[in-house]
Amino acid sequence: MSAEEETVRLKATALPFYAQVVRVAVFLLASRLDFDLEQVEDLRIAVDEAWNHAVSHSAPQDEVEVEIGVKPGAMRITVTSPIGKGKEEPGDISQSFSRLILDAVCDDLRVEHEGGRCRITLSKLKEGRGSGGAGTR
Amino acid sequence: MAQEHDEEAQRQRRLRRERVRELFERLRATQDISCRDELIAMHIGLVEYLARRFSNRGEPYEDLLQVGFVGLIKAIDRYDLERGVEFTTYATPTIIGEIKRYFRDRSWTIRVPRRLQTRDAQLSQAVELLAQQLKRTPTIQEIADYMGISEEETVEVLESSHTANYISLDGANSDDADKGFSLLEQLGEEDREFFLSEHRAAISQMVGCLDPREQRILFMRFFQGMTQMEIARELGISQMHVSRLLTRILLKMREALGE
Repeated sequence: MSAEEETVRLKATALPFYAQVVRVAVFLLASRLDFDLEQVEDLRIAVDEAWNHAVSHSAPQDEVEVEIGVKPGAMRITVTSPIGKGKEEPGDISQSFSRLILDAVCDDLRVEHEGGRCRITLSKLKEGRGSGGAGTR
Repeated sequence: MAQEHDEEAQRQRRLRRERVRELFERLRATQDISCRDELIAMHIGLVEYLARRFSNRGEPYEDLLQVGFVGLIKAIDRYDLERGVEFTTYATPTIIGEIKRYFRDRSWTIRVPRRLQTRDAQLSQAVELLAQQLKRTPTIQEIADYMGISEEETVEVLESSHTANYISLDGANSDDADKGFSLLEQLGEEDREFFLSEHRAAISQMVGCLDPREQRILFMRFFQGMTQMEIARELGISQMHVSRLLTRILLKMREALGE
């Protein structure tokens, strides 16, 4: 793997089931980065929360885009979702339960709303919080 | 009179054993399917008896009977006359094994292939063992190497492991000393940081749907920042189990939130 970030992009219908497809891709890439199981489990929770947030304000026929960026020791996941017709603007995640969860399992989190889309960007570092190895938590 | 009766019963049993032996010899020599049919018919009683023993565990007797017959047929196909054990001695564990496997399979809410279910148990063991050996959480590659399977397959097992319907821990751990645990009581001063004071009612509603042990796990993971492995050690359960419980906790809370 080069030092530059390499990316994988997935597009899926905004339905809860597809979180599973995203998780499998994230797990494999996390394994490639040599993340430990604890970090992989954190990513499971993070993907579920981000996906759930995206699906909650998208219409079922909408597409949610996931971009997974990997470089040595770091993974970035960006979930971009449209705000579906007739759906409410996503609530302020900064004060929500989802935020609390995401903060606990990720090393960095950014949430942006613009142009009728919501974008959640989270990152996980091999030597970051929640690492089960060598007291790096 | 009683002695005559005993002698007759013994004679019947001997004749039956001889007939079974004869049928197996003919079946092995000629592959005559009628021998197999007769052997099945001769052991209906055994299958019925074993199915009845498991019939009060929530699965229909008829289903258990069918599964039992699968076990009987397997036993007939695999029985080796040269081993010198009676067929019923050989068949009984095979039939029970089949029935037990059926119960095991039925305890999964979503049908997960048997291969993955077995692997799931192996994976839990591997994680525990490797964590002890390495003194840290293993990576997926390390687990894969240990289990002798591919990285992809390990990921597949990890993913499928969360589709199982697990029995609540609380029933098995009624001696939990923290029964009276309340997450809200434990939030203390730190909740300002998370804007929780403004959302106390919502959080309270969500936490209310969790049992004491789930509340404790939630608190340890997301408020104290403990890792799954640390929680596992604290509660004396496996890391995989903590992971599954966390998935369930978050699902419950989302449902309570109406998301």
